[in-house]
Amino acid sequence: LNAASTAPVAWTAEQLLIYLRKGFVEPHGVAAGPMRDIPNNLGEAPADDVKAIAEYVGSLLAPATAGRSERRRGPEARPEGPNASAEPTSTVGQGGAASRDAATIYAGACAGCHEPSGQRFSAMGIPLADSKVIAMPDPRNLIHVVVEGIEPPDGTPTASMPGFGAAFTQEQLAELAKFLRAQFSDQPPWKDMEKRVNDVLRGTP
Amino acid sequence: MVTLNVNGRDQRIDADGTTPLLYVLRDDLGLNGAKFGCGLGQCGACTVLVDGRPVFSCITPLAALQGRRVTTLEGLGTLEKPGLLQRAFIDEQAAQCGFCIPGMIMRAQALLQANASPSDREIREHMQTWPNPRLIGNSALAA
Repeated sequence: LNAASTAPVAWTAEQLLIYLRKGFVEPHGVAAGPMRDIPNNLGEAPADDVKAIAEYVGSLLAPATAGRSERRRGPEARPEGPNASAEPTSTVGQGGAASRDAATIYAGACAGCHEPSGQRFSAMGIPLADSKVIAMPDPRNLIHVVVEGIEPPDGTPTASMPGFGAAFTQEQLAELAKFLRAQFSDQPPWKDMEKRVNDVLRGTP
Repeated sequence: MVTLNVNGRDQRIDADGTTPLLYVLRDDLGLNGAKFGCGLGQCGACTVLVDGRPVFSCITPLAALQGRRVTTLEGLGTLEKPGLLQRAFIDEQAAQCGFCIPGMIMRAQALLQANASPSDREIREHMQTWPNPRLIGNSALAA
């Protein structure tokens, strides 16, 4: 949350409050993984207490986000769609078939919910250029999201993200993660992706 | 061009790699068991097995399927000779309107292939894409 964060979108205290209370806030998306239960549970807590949490966390992050905001890519830098992907893929992999397929798999499986031209209106998948897990130093969260999907907290307006752990092979998952990293973040490539994917599939922490 | 094995037969499919498996099955191969429900991987009416595991075919692009093994409802049995699980769904009258039953059967099939005698809880967890797991659980147990 502070200056060390690689997340492309900084938080505000107001967004934190909505996130903690409702489990979903634009442009950050839903509370997922271990955070999923927090909004459900905080729904039981007095509103003032949740507000105090949001304000305290907000006070920690407020002065530190300026540098990060600069790093955030402007809308003009965003890829216009899956067809804009030809260039980045060449920087991603070793040019194997799976590496080339990653852009196609993205267009066929992900773009529908994550790009405005698809069904984003009903699914409410966040634009991936705003994604935190794609910009993180460690790929583990992204791999978990793609493999297992996201079940949003109760009462959020978003669709569940289905998991793709059965649909894609280990190699396809690794290449897709590399593609997403190159396409939607300004961070350096992750290393040993096949092994990292394998670790998640085997449940290795 | 992608070659995949559907219900035991190799099929060469000439379609854009982004084409959903569901469209390939229904439009190119005439296998109409899997249904289009939501198109977002939510409802499960399009569920088929890929390498023995359940996937939403409406959001599984053809490009991911080179050399892989797909099983659809049609791969379990025929009208004259239904598969074990299909028989169980008929015997237990588990079909409601019927539209999403192929997806339910395929998801249940995946569970039974991995675990021949699942507990009620395992059934419920596995089938949770759908609103009435108890009913499905009973018919799956019967099989």
